[in-house]
Formats: sequence, structure tokens, C-alpha cells
Amino acid sequence: MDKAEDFHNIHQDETCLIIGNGPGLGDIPLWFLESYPSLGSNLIYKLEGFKPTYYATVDSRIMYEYQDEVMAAFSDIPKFLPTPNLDKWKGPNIYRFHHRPGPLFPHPKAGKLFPRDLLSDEGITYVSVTHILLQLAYFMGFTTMLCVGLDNTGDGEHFYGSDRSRPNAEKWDQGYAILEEGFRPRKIINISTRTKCKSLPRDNWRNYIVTEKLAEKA
Amino acid sequence: MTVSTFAKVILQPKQTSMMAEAPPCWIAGQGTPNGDLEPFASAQKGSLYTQTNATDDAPHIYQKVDEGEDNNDWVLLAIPSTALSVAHTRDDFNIDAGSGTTVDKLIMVAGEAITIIRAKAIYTIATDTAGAENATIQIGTAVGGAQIVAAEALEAAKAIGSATSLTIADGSVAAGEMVAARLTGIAATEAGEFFVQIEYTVDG
Repeated sequence: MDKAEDFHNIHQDETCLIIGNGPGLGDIPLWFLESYPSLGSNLIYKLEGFKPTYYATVDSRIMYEYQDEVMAAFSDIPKFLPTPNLDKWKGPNIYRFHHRPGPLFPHPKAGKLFPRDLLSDEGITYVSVTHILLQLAYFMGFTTMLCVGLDNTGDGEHFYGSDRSRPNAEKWDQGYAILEEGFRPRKIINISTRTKCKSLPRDNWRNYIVTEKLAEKA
Repeated sequence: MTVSTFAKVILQPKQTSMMAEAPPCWIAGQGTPNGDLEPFASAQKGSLYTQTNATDDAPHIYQKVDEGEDNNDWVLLAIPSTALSVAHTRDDFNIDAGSGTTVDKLIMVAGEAITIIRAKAIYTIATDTAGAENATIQIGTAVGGAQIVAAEALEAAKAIGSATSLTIADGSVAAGEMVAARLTGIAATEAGEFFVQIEYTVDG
């Protein structure tokens, strides 16, 4: 892929995993995470033995403190970064999207599809990086987005332990509600095991096991 | 001001064959226009009315803009000086000035009494998804003051060009007073820079 535009609708009508970094991610077996194309973020490289299909991060904190580790683990997968926020982050397979000011999802509810030049032209915005993963998935054409590790604890706890971030979990949840409504009839389903997220429809991850993957595991 | 009880046409041009309808006239009198009484009611659209007893230094010319035969047919032509002006800090605040560290910047010194209508923090460097909300901004009429805007949190995940609207507690600024903004910062390595913009009207 040469440009961010090249990812437009390349996964039409497919299902993907949106991988959050909450403590509940440790409850999900790796073989399940590998059952679908996946989008991961921030310090997901700390999940040993796993590599998402796509990666995104938005915070300068990640760029300054973890860039080398991310690039070492994920040099070969597409990485989506906001511009101009993280323009200093260089390396292979980096695709940039314009960080747009304004409301999270201003598109009409009538199911307007993202245009091909969305990422470089109008841009997208977010309150949390998971909002970016969801909008990238929508841009790529996924019609069902299954969220794991989306615990929304707001206390800095992650599958790899605690860090100093103390996000506003309530605002994150409001953002999920906006996206869930705006994406319809496409589906966002939270299949995390121990989530505090209230805005997304819930289900059990075991209902989405791909039989072939289960057989491979056996 | 009460509606007019005394008004007289002081100029009424004659209609000529070149004119499709009666030309507008010029009326003078006391009080505001009384749209359903003569000579206001039958005056042509575009007619002018000069109010001879308007308040000193206030505008006093009205124009007829509708033919509804009511007071709303007449509008005051001159606009009182309530147009918004804008002022802002001359350079940007850096959010990670240090935990609890205060940084003060001057916005303006008011030449006349003004009223601040709106205040915003406008981001010039994007903020990360967490951290910026622990920094605060306040605005007052002295360095470190907070009577215009009490200390208010900045916001996480703001793009360049986006703004945090600040709540005006008391927008009054007397002639000769300064308007100053104070950042209370957070620890180093948090992204985000912004300037403070105010919109105000000149009193009187």
C-alpha cells in the first residue's frame, strides 16, 4: 500500500477485532485474537506472541517513550499516526491521518460512507485511541467490529500492569455511544470479559469462535 | 422612549411619470416611529424618520423597511457600538510547564470600560488523550486574578485549531484595568500548547 487511501474498503463486509489494552485482554486466548483481522494500539506489543494486522497510536507520550519498541515489534505492519501530532515519528509502513478538530462523528445517521480521501483530507478525530481504531475499521469497510480488552476502567490498569495515564472514562464511553449510533447498520459489539463500558452492546467472545481456528488449536 | 405623538412630513418629493410608485419621504418628530398612525402608515418603503428628542449621542434616524403598518416597519439605522472585538495572549502557553507551576500572560489593558462576552483556550499543539485536563487556565483583572474566568481545566485529545470554551463569571473590566491569564501547569512531557482569546464589547 502506498497511501492511506489504499486501505479504503479493502475489508468490505468482513468482521474484525478492535483490541483494547484493558486487564481483561489477558482473559482472551491468543488463538482467538488471531481468528480475525485486528486493530491494536499503544503498548499492544507487550502482548507476547501476538501481532495485530493494523496498529495505531495518537499520543506523543507513546512516540517519545515507546517508539523504538513499537517499531521493533511492528515494523512490517501498517501503522496509522495522526498528523501533524506525530510527524516526528518516522519509519516503514507508516500511514498518516489528519487529526481533525470538531465533533467526534459529524456524519449523518443515514449511513454515509467514509470517502476514499477521508484520512488525508477531512481527517478524523477522537477522545481515545480506540475511537481511532473503530473509525479506521469503518474506513476499511468492516461491517462487524468486535471489541476485546475494552475495559474502560479509567484507572490506568492495563493487561501489562498499571501506567500513569488517568483517562476520562466517561468521555470515552460517550464517544463509543456516538460511534455505535453513527455506524449503524454496521455493528460494534463489546465482547470484553470485564468491561465498565456502558454504551456498547455486549456479547460473549465464545459466540464468535471460528471453528477452524478452534480445530487448529486442538 | 415612547412612540411618536408628534411627527410631520418635512420633505415629500412629487411622483413623476418616470416613477412607478410614490417616492419615499422624510419625516421628523418626537418619540420612536408609530407604524400604524399617519404620517408613518402611508409613508413609502425607504422613507426616513428623524427623531428630534433621542438620547444625546445615540443614533436617531429610522428607515421604513416593511409595510405591515406597525412599529416594526421602522428600524434604527445606526447600530450602537456593540460590535465584538477580539484580543488574545501574544504567545502560547505550554501545558507541561511543570506540576503546579504558574505562568502568567497579559491579554490587554482596556482603554475604555469593556465587557468580555466569550473566552476560549485555542490549541496550537494537540493534546494527548490523557493529562491535559490536569492543567488549568484562569483569567482576571490582575496577574493571577480569576474573577473573569475561575480556574478551569483544559482538555485532552484536542486537535490543533480546536478550543475549550471558558465560563465567564464576571466579564466587566473597568477602563485602565488589565486582562491577564494564568496557566497552572502539569509535569513535563505532556503535549499541548494553546493561547487564550477573549471577545468583548466596549461599554457605553
